[in-house]
Formats: sequence, structure tokens, C-alpha cells
Amino acid sequence: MKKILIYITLICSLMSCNYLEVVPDDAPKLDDAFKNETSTEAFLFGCYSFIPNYNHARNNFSWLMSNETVASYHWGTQYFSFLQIQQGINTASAPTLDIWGNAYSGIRQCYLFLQNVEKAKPLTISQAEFDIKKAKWISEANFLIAYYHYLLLQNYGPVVIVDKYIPVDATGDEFFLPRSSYDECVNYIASKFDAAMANLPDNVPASEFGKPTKSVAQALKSRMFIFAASPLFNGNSEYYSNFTNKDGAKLISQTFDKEKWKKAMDETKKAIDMFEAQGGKLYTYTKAPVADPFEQAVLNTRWQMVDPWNVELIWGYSGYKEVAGATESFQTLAMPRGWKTGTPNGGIGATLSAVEKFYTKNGIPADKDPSFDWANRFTIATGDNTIKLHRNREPRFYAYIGFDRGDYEVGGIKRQLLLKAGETNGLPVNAQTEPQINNDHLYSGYAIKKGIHPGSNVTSTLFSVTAYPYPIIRLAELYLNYAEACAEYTGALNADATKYVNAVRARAGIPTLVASNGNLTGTALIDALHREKMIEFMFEGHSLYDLKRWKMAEAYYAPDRNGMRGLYSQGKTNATFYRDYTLIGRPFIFNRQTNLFPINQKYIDKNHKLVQNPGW
Amino acid sequence: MKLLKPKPKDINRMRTKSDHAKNQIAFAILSFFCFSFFNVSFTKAADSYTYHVNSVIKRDITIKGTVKDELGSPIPGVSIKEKGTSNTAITNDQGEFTIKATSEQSILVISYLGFSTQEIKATNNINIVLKEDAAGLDEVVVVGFGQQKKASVVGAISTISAKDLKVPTSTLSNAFAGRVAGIIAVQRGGEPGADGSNFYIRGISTFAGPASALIFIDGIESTTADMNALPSEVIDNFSVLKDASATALYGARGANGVLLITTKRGGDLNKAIINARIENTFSTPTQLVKMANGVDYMNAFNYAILNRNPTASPRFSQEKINGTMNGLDPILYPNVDWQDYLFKEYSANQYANLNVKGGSQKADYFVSANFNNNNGMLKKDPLNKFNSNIREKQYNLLANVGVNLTPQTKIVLRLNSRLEDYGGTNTSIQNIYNQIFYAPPALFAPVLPNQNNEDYILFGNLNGGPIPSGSGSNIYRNPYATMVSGYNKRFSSTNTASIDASQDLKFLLPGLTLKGLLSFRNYARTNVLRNFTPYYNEVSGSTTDAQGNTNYIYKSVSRGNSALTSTTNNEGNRLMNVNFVLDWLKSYGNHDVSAMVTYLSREQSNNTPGTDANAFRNSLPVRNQGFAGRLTYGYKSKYFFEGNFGYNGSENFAKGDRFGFFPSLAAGYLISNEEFWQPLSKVVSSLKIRGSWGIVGNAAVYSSDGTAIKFPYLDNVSLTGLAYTFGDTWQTTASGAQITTLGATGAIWERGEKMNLGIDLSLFNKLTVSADVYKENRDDIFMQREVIPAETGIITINPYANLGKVKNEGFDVNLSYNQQVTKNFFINLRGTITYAKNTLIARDEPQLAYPYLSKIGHPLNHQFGLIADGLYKDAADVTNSAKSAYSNVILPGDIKYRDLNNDGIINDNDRTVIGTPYVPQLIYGFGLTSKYKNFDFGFFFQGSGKSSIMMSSIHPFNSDQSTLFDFIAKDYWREDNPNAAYPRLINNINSHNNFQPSTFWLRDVSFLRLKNMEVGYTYKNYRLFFSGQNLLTFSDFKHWDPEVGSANGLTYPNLKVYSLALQLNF
Repeated sequence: MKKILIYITLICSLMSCNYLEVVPDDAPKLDDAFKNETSTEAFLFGCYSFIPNYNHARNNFSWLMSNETVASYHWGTQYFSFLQIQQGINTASAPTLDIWGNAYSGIRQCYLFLQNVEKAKPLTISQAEFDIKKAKWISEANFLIAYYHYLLLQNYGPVVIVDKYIPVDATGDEFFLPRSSYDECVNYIASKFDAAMANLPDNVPASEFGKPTKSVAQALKSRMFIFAASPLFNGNSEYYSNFTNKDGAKLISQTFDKEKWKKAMDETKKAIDMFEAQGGKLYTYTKAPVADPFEQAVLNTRWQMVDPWNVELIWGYSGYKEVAGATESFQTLAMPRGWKTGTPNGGIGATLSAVEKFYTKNGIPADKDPSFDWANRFTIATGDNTIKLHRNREPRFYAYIGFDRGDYEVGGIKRQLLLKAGETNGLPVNAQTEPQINNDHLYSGYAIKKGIHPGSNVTSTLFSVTAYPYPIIRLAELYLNYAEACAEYTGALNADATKYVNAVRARAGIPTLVASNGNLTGTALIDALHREKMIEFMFEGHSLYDLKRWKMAEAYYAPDRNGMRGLYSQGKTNATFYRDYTLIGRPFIFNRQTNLFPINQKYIDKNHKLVQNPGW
Repeated sequence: MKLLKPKPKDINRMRTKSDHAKNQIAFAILSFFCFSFFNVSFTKAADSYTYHVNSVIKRDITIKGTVKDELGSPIPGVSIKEKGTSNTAITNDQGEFTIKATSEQSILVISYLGFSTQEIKATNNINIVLKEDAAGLDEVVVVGFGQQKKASVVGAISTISAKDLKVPTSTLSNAFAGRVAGIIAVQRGGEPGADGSNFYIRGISTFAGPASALIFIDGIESTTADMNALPSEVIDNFSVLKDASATALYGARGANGVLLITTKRGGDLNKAIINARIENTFSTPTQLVKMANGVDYMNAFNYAILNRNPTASPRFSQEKINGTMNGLDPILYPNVDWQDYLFKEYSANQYANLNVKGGSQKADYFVSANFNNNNGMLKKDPLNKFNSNIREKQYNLLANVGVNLTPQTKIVLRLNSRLEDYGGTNTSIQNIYNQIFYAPPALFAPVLPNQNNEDYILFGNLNGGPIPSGSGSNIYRNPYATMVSGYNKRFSSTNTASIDASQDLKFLLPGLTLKGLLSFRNYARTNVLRNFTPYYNEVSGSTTDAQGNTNYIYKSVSRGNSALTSTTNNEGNRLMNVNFVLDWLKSYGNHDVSAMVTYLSREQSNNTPGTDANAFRNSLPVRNQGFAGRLTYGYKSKYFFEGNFGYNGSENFAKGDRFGFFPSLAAGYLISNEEFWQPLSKVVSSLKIRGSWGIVGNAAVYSSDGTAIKFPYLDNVSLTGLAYTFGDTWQTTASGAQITTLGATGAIWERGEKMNLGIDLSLFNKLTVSADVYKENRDDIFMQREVIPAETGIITINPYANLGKVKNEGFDVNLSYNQQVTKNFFINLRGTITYAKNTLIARDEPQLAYPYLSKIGHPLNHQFGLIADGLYKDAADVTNSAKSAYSNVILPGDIKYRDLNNDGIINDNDRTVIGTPYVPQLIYGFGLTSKYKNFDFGFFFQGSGKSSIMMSSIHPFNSDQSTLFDFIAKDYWREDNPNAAYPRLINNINSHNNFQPSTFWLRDVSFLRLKNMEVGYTYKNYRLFFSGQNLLTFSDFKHWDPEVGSANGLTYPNLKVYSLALQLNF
């Protein structure tokens, strides 16, 4: 028996107790991220990474989602999320973009930062200097928490307020949170923006462009108050009388409160003053002297969006640098085809409704300007080579839109656009000159110039883009927001509001509001301001959200249910090409529930306190 | 000559006219091996012999005799032993034996596999008649870390003879379905090198990971690929351990069942036995899915456009349709059957095996060489210098060499080397099949004729397709171009070596043996992929020259490159096993006791951990360590008790959670051994009732996407997971830390509580029945936590936890019937049924809006979708029905769904579990083998039931790209065909009301097929046979092979295989 024991001992000695101890001690842990100044700052960079890619032309939540743009006939909805929004195929089971999940992930990351930042130690600077730096970082994290909540609010209406870090092993009320009412959300987000503003800088150096400043926080906050005062969220008993939490609490106010417009006015004014104090002003083109004021205005508005980090930009998106040929690159997708094989695709164009929206050169809506032959807008004047609709329009029309026989300025030269089927930039045709509809092309017969940097270039062999930060918020918006709030609150424009609106119009090379329209008041004034904003911010992702908050979207988009409008890109002659054509396969479908994004059903299932948005 | 019976040990039988005395010694040595290695119970041989090396053998008298069966046929190879001595003999081909005995009063013990052992008083010229023992109670069954006599087995173990696994396929697992009771197996395709069946022992009891069985070949843990490559000729024993009693030894790793395979050994033979087989097979698809022709396609496409928008213009002109219909120029009017264009109708394959066994008293050997040449059906392009068809050559070398150092010390060295030389396509075959779905027949010809002596292939295409091309305009998918534009050369080798030593420790304690096994396995693979970018051209017209020759006008769609570019990648892993077994067995009168304890450690490492973020974790070894033990007690060979335990650890869990204890208990009652049973024994020759209970674990933890998780208890942190950029020139960038998965505190293995009740019955000594019913409750299934509100920000980083529960219950039955009809005619009938039904009990399911959305209470792998109520009849029907949230415009002829929640909207909340699950719940098989004189004939039917597929990716004109299936072309909805099998056509869309998973697309894929049929003729040492596989299939599902399980039939098909083989034995 002894010997057996010896054998057993022998066997056992072969089995080291540490045999299963495989995990090395140096596996990365979260604490490693907060060891020093550099890694902690890098963590903060990571907190920013949840800002949605505003530059992503295919998958984004604002750009291209209105009926201003139309994609090539054969593009599928699976690759282009904006098409899903346009065609109303956003559903709770497969929501188009997971803004909800993304924003809350970002919020968690920020709280994780705030929880751990105190552990960090300086590397190269003194503790005192480091404390200042840390205070700024904390403000940035708070700003981001406010901003992510703001994003949620913008898309979903009333959301769940997360005001602290939630541990994974939390339970009960700490874990399962209900939605707060829209106004509670607004107040919370405002307080968070205010907290952030305490230590945010007035300005950031060029190497940190893209980081928030005090003005950014105030500007976003003011926009939030504009939304909160707007009809969709301010006393909307028409849509949302049954929109309640499970305990019955109403999530959107049921009675109109006019003072919300006052609050919006004040906050906007504060933002304007704050930004102007830092040298902010409306952008004008100054790279080369221009004699003709009309031409100057065209250049102002063509360059305004794309001239990087210009004086008008309050906050630009720096998270992505556009690359020629990339499938998410707007300039690649939108610049007309034909000058080079392959990219650019020339697959995103402007619709006819966008084209018609612009004023005449007199600053008056084209259908209202007696000097404009609206009835015959699809005919060609004698001796001309394009239709009357393209003549005598305001400078922004020529800055934003590329039309058949019009100019397209890229690579420092003007080229004529030839957009009929079989022509250089038009729909390709086969050997039998049959139009080949399943090719990338400008389906509506119009190109977009806004957002295309004139320095981007395409030749038969080369294609390059000049990148720019997508404007998240710029001064002109604050000007127009202020005017709108003022008109809503007082029924007229005060001196500041008048000044702001006319500044935007002047920069666009059109007469003042009064000079063009006479003295407008009430609804007429508000309508004019709405149109002003839709023109100025065309292709910048504002109109869908504005139409929603104005409670106008459902009616506005109704005519496009069978297809948005364009010219007939399969036409090879003036007679066939220049006509008001319903773009088959490209409907814009907006139902009442579309006013608020659907929350992913999965998230509803996981949180028994969470209620879905109405209609989804 | 007595015919062979399909018994596991049968293959050990020596069919030579060699010297019997030597055989006798060989057998003795073999028995000694068995004794010293596996103590738990005896082999038949061990029962009959006791080999005393040191004793002096007296040779007093010589006794001669013959052994015959009940029909009077002599039985060769029967072992005769004088009781209480070491005197042994073996019968020759005439059944004659001569034995030296100590006295006239000696008792002879006569034993032979498949027959009842007899004890007879020795008399000269004795005639012994052996009686068949259909129950095979004396057979040896390989169990975990040892062997047991079948009579004493109380666990649920299926064994199958190598002969029954010998089917004309080079892949072992394809022989499982219907042949092995307790295995659910389905073959999902016949692609050479990837045609192995998916198999699950007693179905699937977990939703975490692949639920695959643990496989041991000669005690060395092996992969399914290793097993599949094992030639059936080398297999000695094949055991399937099904219940907890059989698998508890494997503790934390045995819950999904265990396969034990032992390979053959040599013996003390005076002459080497050589066995060879050469086989030539032809394979051809069982059933391909049929595509519509160009004319049907174009007409249907135009109809799809016009039926929804009468003012739109049709895509194809009548001129083109007519041209195609009249078979005009195939380049200008293409009408391509892509499957026909890409694939040959059959392929030829070769198989050869040569094995030799022999040995002496000091050493024995078994050597096998195997060559396998499998070819795919892909065509080669004449312009290519290379061939991208699948050509898989497999070489297997196996050597088992035993050396007896001393009578108490033995060493066995095993080498198993497998080389695979594979040639195939640059991309996966599945990708080519997927492209066929997107290759309509009438758009372009696969290849255009070269007109300007181009040295490259001009592939057909069209401008403006959906795929961005590197240069030029976007293109359509041309599957032929994808197939022939490159090739793959892959070489892999798997080498396993083991040394197995055993030491008899009877000097310490009688019956005690120590055995050690050290093994090493290395797998390495090199892959070289080469390809060129195809040149795509569009035909824009044609001209006819003076001679009447047609010249096509080509327009470049995308420029290619005729030079091949290469990429290379490697993979590999290695496995190291250490195993000690201490065995003890002893009989005290009526009491048989045995005990076994084993230590096992295992380390598997990745040879190519890669260079990405996971490389570091991938480089760490996977380790297991543990003890296991078994205690058995038998009383009077009637009552059997057994206890097993495993105590195992895994490196994958936190300290303190690493080890687990897995016990099992089992008992058996061999009623037929009771005295009172004797009157019944003519009818019920043998009856045993077994029962077991135990706990087994499954330490394999997987993420929901099927990748193994290392260290689930740790937070997974990527220190550079989240990046952002600032600056006027995007110059300020930093990447911050990100938790990619939260750690699961207290993560452990899943735990299966298994219960089994079995019966082994033998009637009239002809029919044997083995039946088991079982139930398993698997809990602590590892899964990612579900119920975490998204608002916490924990969405994709959910920690894992042991939260899942699955119940699995079913039965398996094995039937075998042997009948020697006449002296020359023998038949054996076999059948198995395996039924396994699992039910999801818990999975941390979120609170769902409607109870019917829940997956709890339903089988795993279930189908989920809407319930279709046919097609909308008319506009009123559409208006009066619930509105579809899937499409804005619904017309008559679209699919009408049931509004389960009555909210007036058809959406995802109206889905529920429908039909039977994807993995079949029922597998059965039955067959016959018979022999008449020199002819033999056999067939085997295999069936599968309670299984369904959800057809998807079948919809034509999807985004204007996909092709049209013939069964849709023949029966789609039109005003004049309102009850069509396919709803109203639509084009240029990829998501539609009609495309939703629903009962409309659900198909029952139960089938019965003639799996195998074989006719053979034996002449002397040669046997020539012809066999066929998958010859007939009966199923209600007609569109493609029901077994492949494909959602649209576009996958490498299952094959009908015809083979002609010659077998030699000398």
C-alpha cells in the first residue's frame, strides 16, 4: 500500500497547482486607462467618439433625409439609411439608426470618465496645472452628457434621463428607469449644458477645432429651447394626448405655453452675443475680389458650408475626414458622374421641390414674383438652352444647385453640366441608346453644388476631395431662430430680429425681407421665416426636423407619397427631359408617428418601464 | 465457413490458415494486454485465458476436436483454453483444434465472439456446438478510460462495428445518421473536404456554442476533422457515450456526449495479415434547384414591373425576348443556366487503403496507409493555366506498435499522420453559389469570345450593376468569373503521436495496474490564395463582315488584370495530453469489484495567434486538468452498480471557480441471469434493465456569434478602442480605452443533469433490442445577459452569465435481427430510431409585449415568423385586413398575415414560433445485409423527420438583381392564377411584406432516402462490390435536396455516389 501512495504522490507531483493559472497579470484593465494624463485624455477622446458621423452621407440621421435630395434610381435601402427614412421604412423592430443605443453608450462612457478621472496623475505638468486641465475635461464630459441627451431629445422626444453612472449589477429603480417628460428633459439638459459652460473655454486653438466652447453649449441649448417652444412639443394635445408613461404621466405638455418662445428668444440672443463676442460673424467669400455683387453672393453661399472652420461656424464635426472614393463620402456620391469613369458616382441630386423653393433674384418666392413666368417655368425662352425655372433666381440657387446647361465649379474651373440621358453627366445609355436606369445617375436631373468643395477636383484620370467639417451649428441658424422665436412670441420682428434676417439675406444677395415682401406679420411672417430657413439650410439636414417641430411635416410631405419630383432624367431631348416627373421608386413617406423616431423594440422589451413612441 | 456477424470485435478475427499455435500465443498476449490495461471487466479472451509467463507448462496429453455452429458450419478462430492452466488453442478454418491438456479430467473453456462461452469436460475428438449469443454479453465495450464487458455495462453506450461505418464516403460522420442510435446527424452538403455531417449526441441541449461531442481517438482528444478522416479500416471500436454514467468522467467537458474510437492493433501472428481496398467512385448531385430560363425570366421581370405600375416601361424589349426564345446568337441573346455552366454533372474520386497487421510475442504492429482523392464538380476555363476545381487529396498514415518490455510492462507507440493537399477556388464555394442567385440568365453571357487575340478571358457583364468595381463602372455578379478568377492551394498536416505505457502492479496489490498516456498533436495549415481581377465587357452590338462572321462590339465595363496576385495565411494549433490511470479489479466469490482513478491534463495552444488585438489572449493556452474515478460492483453477474465522478478544472474561470465536481450513479439488473428466468430463456434470451443519474458539465463558453470566450470573468478592455479627431487639419487624434465586454463575475460551466433508463433485450437469440429513454436538464447555460436596459449604456458590452436552461428529452432504440436462413443464406436486419426534443426553459428573456413572442417553451433552432393566411384576394380584402408595416403598398396577390395582437398592423409583434425546428428531432434508419454463398447484398434507408427550413433569398428581381427560380416562374400570382405558390411579383426592392419569414415560406424537410445499397461477390481472398449512396429520396419537399437545409438550395449539393471497389485479404 505504501508503494501505491508513492505512485500517487508521484503522479500528483506532476500536477502543478498553478497549471490552470494562465491569465497574465498584465491583461489590460480599465484602471490602466486612468493611470496618467495622456491615457486619461485619450479616454476623453473616446467619449467624443459617440458623436454620430455627421459626414457619413449614407448613414446619418440628419443629412439627406428630407425631400430635398434624391438618390440614384437603383440604390437600395439596405446601404443608404437616408433612403429608409425617406421611404418610411423605419420600424421599431429594425430602426434605421440606433441613435438611442449609441447616445446612451456615449453617456455611460462619459460617466465612466467622471468616475475615474480623479485617479489620473499628471505626467509632465504640475498638479496645479493638471487640476485646471482636469476641470476642463470634466466640463467636456458634462457637455457630452448634455449633448447626447440632446441628440436623444431631438430624435425621440421625451427620453430617459441618466444622471449618474449605473453599475451593471444595479437592480430595481436604479436599473430600470422610465422616460421623463419632454420639459423635464429640457430642464435637465439645460442644467447640464450650464454646468459644462462653467469651465469650457471661450475659444479653442486650431489644433483642437471641433472641441466645444461656451458658445457651442449655449448655441445647442438655445436650439433646444426653440424645439421646446415649437408646436410639436408645446401643448400638442392633438398628437400626444395619450402619450404617457405607464403610470399615466403625460410625456409632452398638453397646453401651449407662449413663454417658451420668450425663453427661446432669450437663450438664442445669449448664444448670439456670446459667439459674436468671440469674433463670430456671417461668412463672406474673401479669397479673391469679386466685382459683381450677385457673383459675390453666389460665392458667399457656395463657400459658406465648405470653407473649413470659417468665422460663422460655431461647432463643426471633426470626427471624420472625408476621402475621395469612400462610400460614405458625400462629395463622392453627389458630384456628377461622367467626367471620369468610376467615382464620383453622381448619385445624389436635388429634387424639383428643392429647386422650386428658391426665391427669384428679387428675394420673392418664384410662384409669387409677378416678374417670374411661373406657369411656363418648364419652357425654354427663345435663344436660351435651359428652362425659365433656371433663370432669374436668387444667388443661393446658383450656389446650391447644378442644372442642365448650367455651370458646375470644381477644381478651379467652370464646367457645363450636360444632364440629359446619354450626355456626359446624364443617365448612361447602351449601344442602342436605351437609357440604362440601373446606373448611378442624377435621377432628378439636378446636381447639388452645396457641400461640394470647389477645390475638390475631377478630371478624366483624377478625383480628389477637399474635406471640411460638417457644420453642426452655425451663426445664421441662431439669427433665423431668433427671428422665428421673436415672430412667434410677438407676432412681429423686433430690431434685432430684423437685423439678423436681413443679414442672412444680404449675405445671400437678396433684398431685405421688407423690400421683397412688404410688411409681413403673423402667419405670413412666420411662413416667410420658415422658407428663409429652408432655403438657407437646404442640404444641411435641418428641414426634416424643422418641419416636424412646426407640426407641418405630415402635410408637407404628403404630395411626395408616390414619388418625389424631378425632371425626367431618361429624356434625351428638351421636350422629354424638361418636365415635372414623379420619380418612380423614390417616394417620400411621412406618417404622423414619423415625427418621433421609433425606439428599438429590443430596448422596450428590456426595460419594463420604457414606453414606445406613439404609433410604433 | 461461418459467416461474419457484425460485432465490434469481429474485426479482430484472424482469417488465415496460419499456424494455430502462434495464434494462440497472440491471443494470449492480447488478452494479457487487455488484462493489464483495462481492469474493469474482461475481454472474452481474458475470460478464457490466464497467461502465466513464469509457470512451467506441462504437456501431458493432446486433445483434438472441432467447433461448429448450430447449423453445422465449422467456426474458425475459436479459442479453446484448459481451465486453470495456460494451455490454449485456436480452431482452424475447418473448425478443428488440438490442445495440450494436463489431464483427461480437464475442463475446456470454449469462447468466441458472438457465441455463448461454454465449459466442457475434455474428451478426445470432441464435437462442440457453439450457440449464438445475440445479446453479445461477453463482448467488450470501450468506456471512458477503460473497457467493460457488455453484461456489466450500466450506462447508455452505443457501439457500432467498423463494418457498419464502412460506407462509400471518405467522411466517417456521414455514416452516423440512422446507423448509430443516439446520434442526430444531418449532412448539409457534399463539398469535398467540407462534407462532414453535423452531428449531435442525443440532439442539442445547449444554445451556447456548437454542442459538439468530445471525440477521443485512442485516448487522445481529437477534432471532428480528425475523426472524419479516419479510414473505417483502421477502426477497431467505436463507442458513443450518451448518459451521465458514461460521461461523468469527462466532467466539465462531457455534457454533449463523448465519442471513443480505438484503432486496430496487431497481434502475435505467424504471418502478417494484409488487407487492401481500392475504390473508384462517381458522384453526382442528388437534386439541384432549378432556375428559370431567360425567356421566363424576362417575361416575369416585365410582369413584375407592369403588374404594380402599368405605366412604367418594361425592362426587356419584346425583340430581346423573342430573340432569346428563338435561340438567336447566345452572346447577344444570352440564356444562361449558370449552374450548368459552372458545374460538371459528375466527378470521379478514388480511394485506396492498405493495412498490415502482425507481430510476435515481443511486439505487435498495425500499419495502415490510406489515400483519398476527392474531386469537385467545378469546371476549368480553357484559357486558365490553373484549375480552380476542388481537388482534395488526403493521405493518412497510421502505425500502432506495441512492445512487451517485460510481462508486466508494456509500451504502445501510436503515430497518426494526416496530410491534406487541397486545391480549390479562391473564394468559398458558398460565395459562388450565393452569386448564382444574383446572376439572371438573360443579362450577359458568362464569357465573350476573344476577338483580338487577348491573352485573358473576356467575362461578360453589364454597366451599372450593384457592385462597385475597382476600376470602371459598377458591375453585376458573374459567378463564373468569380469561380475561375483564382485558386486556392492549401496544405495541412495533422500529426498525432502517443506513447502509452502500462505497468502491472500486482506485486503491490493483485489486480492493480498503472497506465500512462502521453500524447502530442500538432496541426498546421498553409493557405495560398491567388487570383486576378477579371476583365468585364458588355456587348453593345454586333456587325457581320463580308464572310458572314459576326463581330461583336465590346464596351469595357471594368478593366482587369491578367497577372495573379497572391495572399498567404497560416494557421495551426497543438495539443498536449497527459493521462494516468490507476486500475484495480478483484473478484471475491460472487462479488466483482473494480476501482479506477485517472488524472488528466490537457493543453491546447494556438500556433498562429495572429497580430490583432486578440493575439495576446489567443496566444495563451487552453488548459484542463482533473481527476476522474469509477467504482463498480457486481453481484453474481446479476446486479451491477457503478459510480463515476469527474473533478475537473479549466483555466478559463476565476480562481476558486475553476474546479467542479461531477458525479454519476448507475445500476443495472440482468434479470435473465436469475435462476427463475431459466424457463423464459428460450424466448427472452437476455434482459437487462439499466438506470443512471448524473451531473455533467460543459465548460466551453462561447459568445453569441460562436467564438470561444477567453476568461469570461474578466472585463475585456481595449486600451485603444475608441478614437476621435480634432483640429483644423484633423491632426489631433487619440484612442481611448473601451470596455468591449463586461466581465461575468462567478462565471462557471453549464451543468447538465442527466437521467437515463434503458433496457437491453434479446429475443430467441436472434433479435436484440436496446432502448433508452432519457431526460436532461441543462442549466447554467452561458449566455450574454439580456435584460439590461439600454439606457444604462450597456448594449453591446453585456456581461455573460450562467442563465440559460434547456430541457432535452427523447429516446433511442437500436434493433438488430440475425437469421441464418439456410446454411448458405444469412440475413441481418437493423434499425435505429433517435428522437431528441429540446425545449428552451430560460434565457434571461426580456419582458415581451405579447406572450407568443417568447421563445421559452419552444425548441432551440426553431423557426420564427408570421403566420400567413394565403394571398390577398382583391382590393377589398386588402382594405379590410390589417395593414402591413413592411410595405407601404399592398396589392391583391401579396401575402396576407394573421394579426396576432389584433392591433390592425402587421409587424414584428405578430411573429411567433412556427413549424418544427431546423435541426431534425427525429433520425431513423433501417437496413438489411444478407449473404448468399459468395454473394452479399445490403441496403440501408435513412430518414429524418420533424425538421423544417425557412425559404429565404429566393425572391426574384430583388433590387433588380436576383434571378428567378423555376418553381416560382411556373406558379406566380396573376389575376388568372389567384392561388399561386408565389405571391405577386415585385422588382427593385430588397425588403417587402412578401419577403418576411412566415409560414408561407416554411417547408417541412422530412425525408426518407435510400442511403446505401451494396452488392458484393467474394472469390477466395477477393471481394468485389458495387455500391451506391443517396440513390433515392422521398420527401414532400421537391425544390432541392431536403437534407442540405439551405434556405434557397444554392449550396454545394449532397451527392449520389456510385462506387466500385475491390477488397483483398491475404
